Amino acid sequence: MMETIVNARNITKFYGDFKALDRVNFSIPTGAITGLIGPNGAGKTTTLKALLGLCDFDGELDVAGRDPRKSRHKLMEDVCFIADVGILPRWMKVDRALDFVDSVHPRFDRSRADTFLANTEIKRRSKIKDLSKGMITQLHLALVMSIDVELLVLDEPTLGLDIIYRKEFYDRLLNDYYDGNRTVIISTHQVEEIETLLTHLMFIDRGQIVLDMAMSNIPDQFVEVLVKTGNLDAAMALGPIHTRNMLGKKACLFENRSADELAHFGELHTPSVADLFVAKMKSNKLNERVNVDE
Amino acid sequence: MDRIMNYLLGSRHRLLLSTVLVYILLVVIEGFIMDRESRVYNFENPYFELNLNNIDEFESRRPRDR
Amino acid sequence: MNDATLGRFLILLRREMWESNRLFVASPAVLTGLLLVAMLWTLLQVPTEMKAEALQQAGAYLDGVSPIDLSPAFMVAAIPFVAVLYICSVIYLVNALYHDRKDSSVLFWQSMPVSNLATVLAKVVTVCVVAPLFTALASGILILIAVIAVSILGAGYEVEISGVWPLLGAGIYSIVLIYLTALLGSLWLLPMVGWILLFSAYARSLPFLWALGAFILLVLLEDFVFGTQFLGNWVESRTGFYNYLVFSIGDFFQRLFSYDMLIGIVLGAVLLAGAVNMRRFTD
Repeated sequence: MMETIVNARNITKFYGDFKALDRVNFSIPTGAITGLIGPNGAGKTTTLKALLGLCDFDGELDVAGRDPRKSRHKLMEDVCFIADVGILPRWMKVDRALDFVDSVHPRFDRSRADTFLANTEIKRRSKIKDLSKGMITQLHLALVMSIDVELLVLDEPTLGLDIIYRKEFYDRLLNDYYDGNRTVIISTHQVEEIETLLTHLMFIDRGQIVLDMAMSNIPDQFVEVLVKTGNLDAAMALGPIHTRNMLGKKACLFENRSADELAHFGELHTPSVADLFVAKMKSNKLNERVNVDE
Repeated sequence: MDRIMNYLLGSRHRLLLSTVLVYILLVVIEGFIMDRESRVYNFENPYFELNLNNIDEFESRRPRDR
Repeated sequence: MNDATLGRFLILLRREMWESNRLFVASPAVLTGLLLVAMLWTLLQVPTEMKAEALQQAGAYLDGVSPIDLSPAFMVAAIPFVAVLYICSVIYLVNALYHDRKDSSVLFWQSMPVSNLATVLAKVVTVCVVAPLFTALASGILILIAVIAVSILGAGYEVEISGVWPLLGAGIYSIVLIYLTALLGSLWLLPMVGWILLFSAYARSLPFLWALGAFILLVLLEDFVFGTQFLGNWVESRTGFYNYLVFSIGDFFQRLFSYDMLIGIVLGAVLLAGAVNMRRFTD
């Protein structure tokens, strides 16, 4: 088994004059659940499209051992994706969609899909256009989770769904699908929701990767301190990358500072992904390109 | 060669143009070799014989009394 | 091609029929129904003596004619069906590579391990090979009912119709000929199939207008700028009523392997290759 399932080198993509991706470099280890997080227009969807062979680009990209530009349909035997809009064909009936995927995908497990669907309200003879948005996502997820692929790519899969469907989605993903060998890439701007799922984190902003690291490394690199009022000036002198106000105290986020340096300023904790994201976006605006290697 | 192909087929517009051009070329060559003749339109209307290369001839041929 | 590939191609064909059921199955069926009603109405309107006389004349005329020679006459009944088939085929082709891009379901199809070539081929086979089946069946049902009705009527009026069986045989054979005619016609028009599919895959909106407009523009341009009519001649060579009709199985194979047919398939293939390639651009 390969160590990294995705290798991207110098990926650049222009839409006319607009530079959607700017010499993007990253690797995704096999078995990771990677969150690709960024604001709208940052290049999340473009990155995923490039991975799936849905758009052209400059640079080198290796997904599960293949170049997505060359052999998309072969790649699709090992990779599956759910795009952000409800893309299942509206005219199709549920049972026919199952028949289709069954016949077309060599590693589709029909009985598994049937089991998943049995737990939903979806009727087999319904047309997809008669299903609610949440049910369509359930169906798509049932299809996708019954295919034995190496890489699953999810582009804003829970956009516009009720909280119940959203929770069920991630629940199923983690418990029924993920087995440590499969890799999942999720792009979203709803950071809080997937925080607990992720093993790896990638931030993207304006076509550049601003952060790329394992969740387990975050506490080593980033520390947030709840600075007591008296210590504020001293704390600020150490150059936090972000500050926010919290209950009368100021929370300062530091990068690459040891816990010893910061301990006497106040309470220490690991920042949430959301706060880290905001911090990194702000500092990216101010700084040169910052690329954190693992 | 690869780079030429990548360019010609690189965008949907270029691909369309390339395909249509190749097609037209083949049609013309085939018509030339097989000596295809029009069986359908031989319109009397002089405007249909308008050919930009022969605009002078057309000018003199155009009926004056209308 | 092994079993797995065939199975995968068959599901692609089935998928086309699921989506375009109304175009290819319901339309000819409705036409059959309408024509049957028209037939019935005519029979009820025509006075009895005229019916008997007509049957008498028909009986005399058909006496001793073999089914094989008889079948081409039945093919007249297929004309409205073939017209409907062509109209539905154009509608189908215009949308074939366009509609799923409009509603984004193309992203689902692209997420399946199905090559663009297989996708486009399935659509070509659907329109050229599968759709004519339903046309032939629908017109065949009409023909057979007509034959049986005439025979019953003939018996009723005590008119000698030289045997029901030769007529039925002719009817069934004509179904085969109708299918082969429709199949041959579709293959004959492969360049047009390819042209429409190319623009269906290319256009971001109004694909039919693009296909038609581009064609007209090119024909006019060629004449105005070069003074030649190669494109016009080429298209015009594809028309011609007698190129389409198949009167015997031998006819079919002769036409199939004629130069004109083969060169048409080659040129159609060029356009289809363009359409397959165009499928890469899903935006």
